[in-house]
Amino acid sequence: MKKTLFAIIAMAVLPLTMMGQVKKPTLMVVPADTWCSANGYMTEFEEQGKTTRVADYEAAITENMDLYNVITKIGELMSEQGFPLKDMSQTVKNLKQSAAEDEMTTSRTGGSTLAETPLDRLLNRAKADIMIEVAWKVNKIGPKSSITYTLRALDAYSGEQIAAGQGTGAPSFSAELPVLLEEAVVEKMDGFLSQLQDHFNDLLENGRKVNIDVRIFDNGSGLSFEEEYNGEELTDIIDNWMAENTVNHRYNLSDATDMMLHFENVRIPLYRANGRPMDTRQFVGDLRKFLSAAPYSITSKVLTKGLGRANLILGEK
Amino acid sequence: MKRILFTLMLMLALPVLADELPDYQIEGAGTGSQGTYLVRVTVLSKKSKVTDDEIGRCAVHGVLFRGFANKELRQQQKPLAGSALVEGQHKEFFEQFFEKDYVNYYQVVNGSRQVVKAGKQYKVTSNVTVAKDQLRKDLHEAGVVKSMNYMF
Repeated sequence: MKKTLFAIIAMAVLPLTMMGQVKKPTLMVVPADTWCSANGYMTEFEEQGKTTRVADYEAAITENMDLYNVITKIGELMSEQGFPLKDMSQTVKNLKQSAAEDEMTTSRTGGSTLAETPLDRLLNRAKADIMIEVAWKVNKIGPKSSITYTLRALDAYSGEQIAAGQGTGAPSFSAELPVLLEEAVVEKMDGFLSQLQDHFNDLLENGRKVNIDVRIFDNGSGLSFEEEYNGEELTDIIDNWMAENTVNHRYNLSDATDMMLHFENVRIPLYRANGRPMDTRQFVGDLRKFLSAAPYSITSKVLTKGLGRANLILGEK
Repeated sequence: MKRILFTLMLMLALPVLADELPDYQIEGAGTGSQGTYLVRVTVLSKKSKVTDDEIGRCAVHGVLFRGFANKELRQQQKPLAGSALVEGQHKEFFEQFFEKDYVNYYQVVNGSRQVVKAGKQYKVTSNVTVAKDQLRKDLHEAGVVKSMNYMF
């Protein structure tokens, strides 16, 4: 009797203790492209005969003390909220260091180097789940100076702006630029954090918003999304699975061809049935298992890109 | 019988005392030092003697439930508690909070008091520093306001 009672209590309490373990998004502050362009921190490279300009974050952070101060102050305020930032300069340094170390790593017996696919190399870049862009401009009217300051958080996967703080501070005769900047950061932070909080509340209520691509390996198997199983096309089968497994059936099938399905704003639950946290890989993994079972028996491969984007490629592993 | 009557009267009077806040206005007064808000509070009263405690209480209440703005200084802050609705949702907590705990979160700026007579009432204005970071932290710990980190 006691054992049964203990088991019942344990079953009731266990999922509760597991709750609150949702995977925390990583945040990184970067200077906005407009700021980099205005301050000469852009690099150019040729790509198929066309010149492309990209922000040179490394040069900006090492050469511009004001940017360094602003990023440090934002980091301090975010840490107070329990969200330490991923440091941009350190991330860039670590990537370089780790690439150099990987090249020198060999096995003792056979002298084999580390296995790395072209995709691994492509994914090895500075990234975060939420990118916080910062920019400012100094305005001068006669002897008075003021700062127009912009801070915005972008979901790296959906590209949506999820929080922002923007405005021009009161003009000052005497305050120096670093002081005006610090005031602007402190002044705009609470509103920004409140919007970020709204975004997190929305996640809790409506699930995490992710993007999922379902594609097919070009291996000559002849598989396509128009393939029929019990009179129903594969596109509709996957579409129905999405409807059944998303929070409040919320998702968009924005592109659908016979070789590709692109699902946007897919609201995945924060927790799995066993109370453990859900992420995009596990959600797409469930779809993979569903398709691998009869009557479909389709082998597929899951590729994830951070917390919010995953590809399911059908046809082979 | 008298005792019962006294207890009943006390029970009726207590929430009223706790809720009682003078009529006040709140606006931004510039950027406070880190972790604080600097606000200007104007209490409208029939008497000119408004205590610093009353002004401080209004400042903490305003920061929590009204938010504040100042067009000239281009300031705007939302209510720290999220909205005025939170006061009703955690009525018991805030009744107790505004009885004694609020004193830990404000400081009236010395020499900032102004008293102006407007018609039949007085406008008593002071600048007040409100320790918003500490206030927010304590409200998180009390479970009244959710922290940004609560779901992770």
